Amino acid sequence: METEQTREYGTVPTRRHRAVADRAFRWVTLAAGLGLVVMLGLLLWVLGEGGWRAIREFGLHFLIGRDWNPVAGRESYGALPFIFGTAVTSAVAMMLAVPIGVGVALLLNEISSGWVRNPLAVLVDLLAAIPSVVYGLWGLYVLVPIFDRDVEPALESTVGRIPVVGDLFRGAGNGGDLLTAGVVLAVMILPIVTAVSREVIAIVPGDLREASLALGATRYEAVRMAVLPYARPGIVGASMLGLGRALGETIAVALVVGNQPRVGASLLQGGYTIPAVIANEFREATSVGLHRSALLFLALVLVAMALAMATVSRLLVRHTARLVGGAVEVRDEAAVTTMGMA
Amino acid sequence: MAVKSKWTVVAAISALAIIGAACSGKGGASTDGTASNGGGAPFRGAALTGAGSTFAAPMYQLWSQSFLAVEPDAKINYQAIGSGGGIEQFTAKTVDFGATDVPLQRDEISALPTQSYIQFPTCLGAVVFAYNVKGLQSGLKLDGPTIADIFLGKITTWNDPAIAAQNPGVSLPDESIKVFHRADESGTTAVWTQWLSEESPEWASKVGADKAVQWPIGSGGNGNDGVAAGISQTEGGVGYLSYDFAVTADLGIADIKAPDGSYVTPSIDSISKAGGGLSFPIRPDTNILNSQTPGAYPVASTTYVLIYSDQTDRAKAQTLVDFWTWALTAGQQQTEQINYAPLPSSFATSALSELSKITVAGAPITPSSGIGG
Repeated sequence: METEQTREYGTVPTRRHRAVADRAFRWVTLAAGLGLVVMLGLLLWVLGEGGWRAIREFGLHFLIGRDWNPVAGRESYGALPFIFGTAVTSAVAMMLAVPIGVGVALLLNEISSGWVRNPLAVLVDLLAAIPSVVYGLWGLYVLVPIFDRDVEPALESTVGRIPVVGDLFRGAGNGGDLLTAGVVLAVMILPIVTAVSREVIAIVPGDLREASLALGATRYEAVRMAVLPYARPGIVGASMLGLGRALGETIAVALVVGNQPRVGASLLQGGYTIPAVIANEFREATSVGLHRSALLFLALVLVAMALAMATVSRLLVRHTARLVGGAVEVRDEAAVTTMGMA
Repeated sequence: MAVKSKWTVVAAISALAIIGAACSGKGGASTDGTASNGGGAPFRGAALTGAGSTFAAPMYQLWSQSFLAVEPDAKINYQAIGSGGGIEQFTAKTVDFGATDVPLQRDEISALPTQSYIQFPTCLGAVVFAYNVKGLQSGLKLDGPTIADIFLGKITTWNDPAIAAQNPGVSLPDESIKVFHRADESGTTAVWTQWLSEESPEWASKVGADKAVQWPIGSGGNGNDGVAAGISQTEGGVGYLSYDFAVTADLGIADIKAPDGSYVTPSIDSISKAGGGLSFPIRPDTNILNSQTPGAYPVASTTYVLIYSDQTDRAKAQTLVDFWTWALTAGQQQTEQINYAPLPSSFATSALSELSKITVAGAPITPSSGIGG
């Protein structure tokens, strides 16, 4: 039977105190958890209520419509150009950021000398601290002119000549385009991918590497065959985190993507993303016509895309964890908790 | 023991913070009780809020600043959220006055909570065709159909015969034209597309006119500055900008063909001449495009203010009448400072008579002594 004892450090709780504290703690955390669910529900409700007129008018046709015409009397709205732009810019960002991010993470783990590793790590983390709008301004005033003048004509005359792939690099336009927006996004999601990959690669057991080295693998082979497969679920999770940010990035993209609702093969022409069009048009979209409703419907589409992506990423992480032989449960948990996606 | 006093401190600080915020939040309220004209202390004004047109924002902000010298407590908070936003806020009665570059349209009028409102113009401006081509100075001559074809994507290079025919002796490069337009809704877009619809039947049927349209080609920039940034960074870039903005943006500005066949350079003078076309009462299709007055700039525009005639707050109503009377009389002298054009005096008078319709509890509000004429 415990009694209250006063020691030098403080009081020891009685059994009754502990029970009350436990119950209170459980209710508080339950409320917080439910609160999140309620908030998500409210968000969906507000979007659905505001977008209801557009949903009723266009239905699922909205997802494949290509128009975006707010002129009174000939209003017609379709989400396809924006879904396309969002998907393409995010894909470009991923294709650039994931290899570079994983590469930097490997580098940071392989290099033992502190005077290279520490500044490099700090620099990559600093990238995450820069505000999004500053990225947009940098993209608009620095990247866009360089891309328009030098990079894109060069791409068009080299890669643009290759039969199938070249279609992606035809017809360099002006102002911003999907490629520039993808590059800006890549720089923005690089720190996330790098930081999480770095943690995941760091927890790979040292004896795996040493065993492969002992068997005669070169350093590169050791990384490729021992380290990377073990870390793959975590790297997939890191990429999904980066993708999540890329999907939602608004101001930086709005400044450099060209703001042209378009569906086409070329990356060198302007495009439009869902967050960018909402940021540009929502302030003045009146509710007299369908404009505001269509924008809220677009927001719902984006939420649906993000939720779908989150689900796919969880399944993907679990699947890749299972593919790697060995202590699957331990690795699964480590990978999942490291990414914070549980 | 230590834990208890820590929480006491936290609670005390929170309480102080809340009390402090509550006290300071009340600052800025109108100090005026009586709104009598003449006799006793002069009317000091009340705080007002307005929202709407970004085109008129610099003008209204300058006027608000200057009006503080006349009525020191008349703090006018104007938010440039765009003409569409201004109409929304006016309809929702969350602002004291709305500002729009395009007159209220039929569906917007029917959405208003009451039909007793006044709508009057305040100053003149214009939309210009800006370009950035190495070697081309300001003053390139273009007519409406040519410009419409540029925005439709039918004319794609600078040395196109349509442009060369209007500019004999000017060497035009063989560069592609890169079009920029507004990505956000704007009264400037409404004026520009309305003019293009008048000049080109193909534009009217294919695109139409509104504060935001489905552009056939071109990159979108956010605000006048976004478009100006796009044009100035792109060799061969073109776009439309409001006049006051283009003047400070250091881009080439085109001379546009007027109905009488002459090419008019946008300037305060040519814009003022276009004001003669304004007619009262303001209808949904009122505009001063393609004015018949010789020497008038064809793409001139005016901007309107919306106020409900039945006011309930006497101090606010008095400030509204005083401010806009001042703006339509003494304030017109300040327009040219920031590259706007004043209203023709006959229209200032008609606008003033609209202001006289403002009443509180049935009694009309007249401007305080010393304001207006």
